[in-house]
Amino acid sequence: MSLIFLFRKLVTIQVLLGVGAFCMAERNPGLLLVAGSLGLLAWHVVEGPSGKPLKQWMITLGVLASVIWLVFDLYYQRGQVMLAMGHFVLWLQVLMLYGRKSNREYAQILVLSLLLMIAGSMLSDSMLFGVMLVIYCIFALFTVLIFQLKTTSDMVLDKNKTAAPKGTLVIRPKAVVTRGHRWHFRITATGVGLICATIGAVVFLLMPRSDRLRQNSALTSQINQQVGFSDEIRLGGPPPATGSREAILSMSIRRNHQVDTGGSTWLVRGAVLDQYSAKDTTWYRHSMVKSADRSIEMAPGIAANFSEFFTQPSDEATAPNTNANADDTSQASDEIDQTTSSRRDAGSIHASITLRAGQNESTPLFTLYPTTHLTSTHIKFATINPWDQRLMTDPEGNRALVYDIIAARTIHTAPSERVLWPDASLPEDADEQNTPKVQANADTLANSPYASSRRSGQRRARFGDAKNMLTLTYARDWPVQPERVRRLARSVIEPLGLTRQIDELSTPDDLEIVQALADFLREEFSYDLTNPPSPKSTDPVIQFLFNDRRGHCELFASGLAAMLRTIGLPTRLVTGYYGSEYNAIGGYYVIRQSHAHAWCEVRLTDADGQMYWQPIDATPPAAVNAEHSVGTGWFAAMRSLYEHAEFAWLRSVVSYDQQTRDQMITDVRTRVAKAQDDPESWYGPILDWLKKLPDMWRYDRISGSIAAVISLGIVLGMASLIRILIVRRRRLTALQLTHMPGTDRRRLIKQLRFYLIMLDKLDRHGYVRPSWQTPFGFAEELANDNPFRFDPVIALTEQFYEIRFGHRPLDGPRLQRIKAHLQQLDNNLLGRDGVKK
Amino acid sequence: MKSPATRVKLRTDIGPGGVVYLVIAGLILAASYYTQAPLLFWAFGLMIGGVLVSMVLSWQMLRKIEVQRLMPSHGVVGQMTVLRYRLVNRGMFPVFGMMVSETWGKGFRGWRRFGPMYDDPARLKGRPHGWVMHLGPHQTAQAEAPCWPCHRGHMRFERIMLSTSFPFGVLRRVMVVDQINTVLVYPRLYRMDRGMVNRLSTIDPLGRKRLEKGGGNEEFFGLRPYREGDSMKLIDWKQTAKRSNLVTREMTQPCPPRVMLAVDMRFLWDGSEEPASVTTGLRKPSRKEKKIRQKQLETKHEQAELVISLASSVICDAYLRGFQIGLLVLGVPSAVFPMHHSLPHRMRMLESLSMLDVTQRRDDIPGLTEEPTVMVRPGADNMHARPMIIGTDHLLATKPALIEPGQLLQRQPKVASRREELGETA
Repeated sequence: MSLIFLFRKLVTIQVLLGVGAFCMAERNPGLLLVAGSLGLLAWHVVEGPSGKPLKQWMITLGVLASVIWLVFDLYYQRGQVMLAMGHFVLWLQVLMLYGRKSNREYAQILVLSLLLMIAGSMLSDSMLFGVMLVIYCIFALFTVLIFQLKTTSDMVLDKNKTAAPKGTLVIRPKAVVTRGHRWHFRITATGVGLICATIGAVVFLLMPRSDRLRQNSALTSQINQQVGFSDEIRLGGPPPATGSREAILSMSIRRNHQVDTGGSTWLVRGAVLDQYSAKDTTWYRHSMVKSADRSIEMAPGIAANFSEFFTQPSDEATAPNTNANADDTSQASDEIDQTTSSRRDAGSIHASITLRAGQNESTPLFTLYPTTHLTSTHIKFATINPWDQRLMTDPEGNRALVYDIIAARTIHTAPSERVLWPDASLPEDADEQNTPKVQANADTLANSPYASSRRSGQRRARFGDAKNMLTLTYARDWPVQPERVRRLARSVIEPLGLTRQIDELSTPDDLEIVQALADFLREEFSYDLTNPPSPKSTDPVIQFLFNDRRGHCELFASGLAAMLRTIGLPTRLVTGYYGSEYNAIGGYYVIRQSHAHAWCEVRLTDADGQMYWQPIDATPPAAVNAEHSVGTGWFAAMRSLYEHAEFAWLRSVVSYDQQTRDQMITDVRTRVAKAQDDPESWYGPILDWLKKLPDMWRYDRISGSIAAVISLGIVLGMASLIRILIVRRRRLTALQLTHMPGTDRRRLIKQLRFYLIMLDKLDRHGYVRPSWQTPFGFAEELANDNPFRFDPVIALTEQFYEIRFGHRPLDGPRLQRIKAHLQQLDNNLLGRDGVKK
Repeated sequence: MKSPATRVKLRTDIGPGGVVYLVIAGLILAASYYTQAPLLFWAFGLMIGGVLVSMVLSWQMLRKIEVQRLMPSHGVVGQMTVLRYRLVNRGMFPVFGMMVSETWGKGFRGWRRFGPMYDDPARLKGRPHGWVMHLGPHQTAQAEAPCWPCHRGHMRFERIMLSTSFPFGVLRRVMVVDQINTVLVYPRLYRMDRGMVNRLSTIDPLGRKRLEKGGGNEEFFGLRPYREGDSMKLIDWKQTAKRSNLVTREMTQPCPPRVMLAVDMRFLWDGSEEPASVTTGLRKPSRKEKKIRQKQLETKHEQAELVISLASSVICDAYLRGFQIGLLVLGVPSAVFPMHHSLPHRMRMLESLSMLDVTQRRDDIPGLTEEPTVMVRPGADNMHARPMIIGTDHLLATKPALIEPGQLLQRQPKVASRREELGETA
C-alpha cells in the first residue's frame, strides 16, 4: 500500500472516529447517523475507483450552510456555545473530506478533528468516550507519523520543482528505505505511543487542578440531564418519567464488617418534601426548612459526624460536630453509639457510594437513612438540614463523587413493612434490642412537646415563635378534603382496634397504625405507571384514594402521607432510588435512573420519648420488584461487566480532583517515609533485601552468576523462539502457504526462501509487490519498466513457479542458478556492470 | 574531489509544525483548566509526551549518521545533475524522514545569500534536496538530490545538511557536515538540426570523403612492388606477369569527416574601447555611458554563452557521428585542440569550453597545424540573433536550427505526469 493511500485512509478513519466520539459525547445518535454516513460516503465519492473531489464552489456552499447552521444553533441553544461550535467543526470536517486536499487541507482536517475531540472531552467523561479517545489517539499517532513522512517528501518535491528550470518535469523523490523499515516504523510508533501515554498518565496524576468552579453548567446541563429522580413531585401532570437504564450510582455495603452480597433492597434517600400545595398539586420543601440548611466544611479523608442532626433540632444540635480525630470509619462508627445512645444502635452500615454527579450547583448526596458520618476526598462542603436531614453538596464541576457513609442501625420495622435494612446475620438479641419500643403513654398536643422537651432536656424551641409553630405543625397538614381522607384512614384502622386523635403527638399504636395504612394501600391499590390523568377539578391524591385506586409510587406515598397527616401523624415524602439490583462482579448495588422512587417518612416516638423518622414504603413491593427485574444471560453479564468498568472509571478517572491528587501525593510521601523508617512495613523487607543485595552478591557470586546466566538464557531462548515463530508466520503469509499441509509447508518454506530474499532486495529499492499481485504479474511489470535491470527477477520468478507448482527439486544446479540470478539482481540494482538504471 | 576533512554540527529548531503543535497544546491546557475535564488533562499529558519524545528522538536520530557526497563526473547546464549521498547509520535507532540538502557559507546557519544561487551569474536556481524515508541501524543507503545547473564552469558544494523532524514535526534536528566537492558544469548542449549536421559532415578541406593514401582496403589507389607481409589477395598477377616482379595493388584508406572548429569570440572586444577622452583620463564616463556599456557587455556575454553552447553542441554531435574534431578559440585565452576522435578528447574540449573566461582578452591567433573548417560566431546582422556557423568556403553561412532540451522533455510519456499528479511514492 502506498504511503499516500495509507495516509488518506487513516485521515478518513480518524475523522470518522472524531465524529463518532463527539456524537456519543453529545448523545446524539441522529447526528452520528447523518454525519457518519456522509463521512463514509466521502471516501467512496473522492477516493473511490472513479472518485474525484467536488468542485470548490460546492464546498464553499456547504461551508455557508454550516455557518447558517451555527447561527441557528447559537440562537436556539442559548448558551450552548461549545455544542454549536462542535457541530460547526464537525460539518467543516465532513465537507473538507469532499474537497481537493493538499497538505495544508490535511493539516486543517487533523487540527479540526483534534478540536472536535477536545469539545467532546469537555462534554463527556464516560468510559466509552475515554476508550474512543484512546483509539483516536492511536490512530492519530500513526496518522501524524505518516503525515510527517509525506510532508517531508512533498517538501523535497516542491523544493526540487523550484530549483528546476521552467517546464522541466520533476518527479517525486523515490522513497529510499533500508531493510526492515516496516518493522522499525511499527516499533518506533508503538514506543512513541507508549511513552506518550505514560507521560500523559503522569501528567494526569500530578498536574494540579483548579479550585475554582470549572464547569460551564449551561454547556452541559442538557447533555447530562438526568431523568428519574426529581427533588419535587408534581402530581397534576403526566406520569413521571421512568428514566433510562443508565446506572448513576453504585453502593457497596458492609454490615458488621461483612460485605453485603446482594438480595437486599435499599431506599436511597435524595430529596425530602414536607409540604403539599393543593393549588398546583405539588410536593415541595418548606421555605423555612430550607433556611435552616447548614453548611459543613469537610476535610479530605476525615469523617464528618451528623449524629446530632437526627434528634429533634435543639440549640446544642445546631452546631455540626466534625470529628477531626476520627479519620477511620471504624472509629467513627464507634462514636455513633456514644452520640446516639438514645437510638439503641446495635451496629452500623458502611456504604461506599460512587455517584455520577450532575452539573448543578447543588446536588443531593444520596445516602441511607440515617447517615451519621460522611467521608470523602472530593466533597469540600456538605449541607445538612436539622429538620429533614437532607444532605446536599456542591460538586464544583466534579462529574463523579465518591464518598463513604455510615448509617446508624436504629430503626427496625415490623415484618409486614418494606424492609429498610434486611439483615439475616444479625443476632437475635440485637434484633430485640433494636426493636423500637413504642412509648406507652400517649402525650397530648397540649403537654407533649414542652413536657417531653423538659423531660429530655434537649428539645426546646429554636426558631422563635413562628418556628415553634413550625415545630408543632411540621409535616402535619393536609389541605385537601382532610375530613374525607381522615374518615378513610379511620375506616382502615378502626376495624383493627386502633384509634388515634388528631391532636395527639404520639400514641403507642402509631407504628401499628402506620403499618395498617401502608398494608391497606399495598393490598387494595394497584401499582400502575400509566395512570390516567385526574380531572382538573379533582386533586390527584383524592382521585387516587377514592376513585382510581391505582397509580405510581408518588401517588402511593402521597396517599399514605395524606391519611397519616389527617390523623395527626407527621409524615413527609422522600424521593430517591429503590436499589435492589446487585452487581456481583463489582460487589455493589447498582442504581439506575429508572430506579427512581418515592416513599414516606413518619415521625414516631420511641420508648425513651425520643422522636425519630421512620421510612415506610406503601408501594406494592412485588410490582416494583417486577419493574426492576434484572435480566439473566450473557447480555446481562456483559452489562454488569461494562457497568463495573464504568464505575471503576468514575472512581479512578472522573472523580480525580485536587483533593485526590493531594491525598495521593501525601500517601506516597508517607509510605516512602514509613518504608524508610519502619522495617515492619511491607516495603521494609524489600528495601532491606535491596540493601543487602551487594553483600549477598559478594558472598554468593558463583551461584548468582549461574542463575543470571540461566535466566538470561531462558529469556533469550524465549525471545528467539518467539522471533522464529513470527518470522516463520510472516514467510508463510508472504508465500501464501498457510493452507498447505505441514510437511509440504516446511519443505517449501525452505526451498522458496530465495524468492523472499529477492522480494526483500527489491523492497529495499522501493519496489514492493502488492498483496493482490501475482508473482508473475509483479515480475512482468518490473521487466516492462526496465528489461535489462529486472531480467533476473523474471528468471527467479520462473524458478519460483517451477518449485512451487511444478514440484521440481531444489538441486545443486538449480541452486547455483538461483544464486547467480540473485547476484545479478544485486548488481543491477546497484547499477554495476553498466546496466542502466 | 573530496574534501580533506569534515566538521559536524548539530542544532535543533522549531518549525511551523512545532508552533501549531504548541498552540494546540496550549489550547488543550486552557480547556482543561477551564473545564477541569479529566480526559483533557490526560490529552495535555499526551501532548507534553509528544514534545519530550520529539526531543529525545531528534537528539538521538542524527547523532551517529555518517554522510559522504558522491559527485557526478560532470554536469550540463539545464540538465538534471544528480548528487548522490552515501549515508551510514552507526547508531542503534532507525532514522525516518531525513532530508538531505546542500548549504553554503560560513557560520552554523551559513550566510543566507551565499552560494551558487547568488553567484553572478547564478549557477543554481535552488538547493538540491534529497529524501531518505528510512535508514535502519547499522545500514547504508544512498540518497539522490537532483539539481539543475544554470551556468557553465566549476560549481562548488561545501556543506551537506541533514535534517529530520520526525516524529511529530515539533522539533527539527539539523546536522551540517562540511565537505567540499566541485563539479564541472559543461555548457548547455542543444540538439543539432539533422540537415545541418549532414552538411557539416560533407566538409573536408578538399571536399573529399576519403583519404587518398594507400594502406586501406577501400578502392584502387595504385600499384607498388610487393613487400613482405602483403596479402596474397592484393597481388596483381597480371602486372606481375608483365613485370616479372611481384606487384601489389594498393587500396585507398577511409577518410572520416573532419571538423576544425573555430570559436570566434573577438566580437567581445569589438567597440569595447572607451572614448579617447575617458581612456586618457580627461573625464570620467557619464552615468549613461556606463549604463550603455554595461548593457552592451551583458548582451555580449549572453551572446558569448550562446556561442560556447553552440560550439559544445557541435562537438558533442560531431563526436556521436564519428567526426574527428578540433577546437580553436579566437579572442579569449584557450588551448588549441588538434582534430581527433575520442571520448577523452571530447571531454577535454568541453572542459576547455566550460572554463572559458570571457573576461580575458587574447589578440594573437594561436599557431595552427590545420585550417579551421567551421567557425562559430554571433549573428552578424543583429547582436540578439542566434549564433551562426560559417564554413570557410562561405557556402555554409546559416543560422543553425536548435532544439531546446526542454522541448524534448515535454515529449515525455504522459504516464509520468499522471504519477506525479497522484503523488505516488511507494
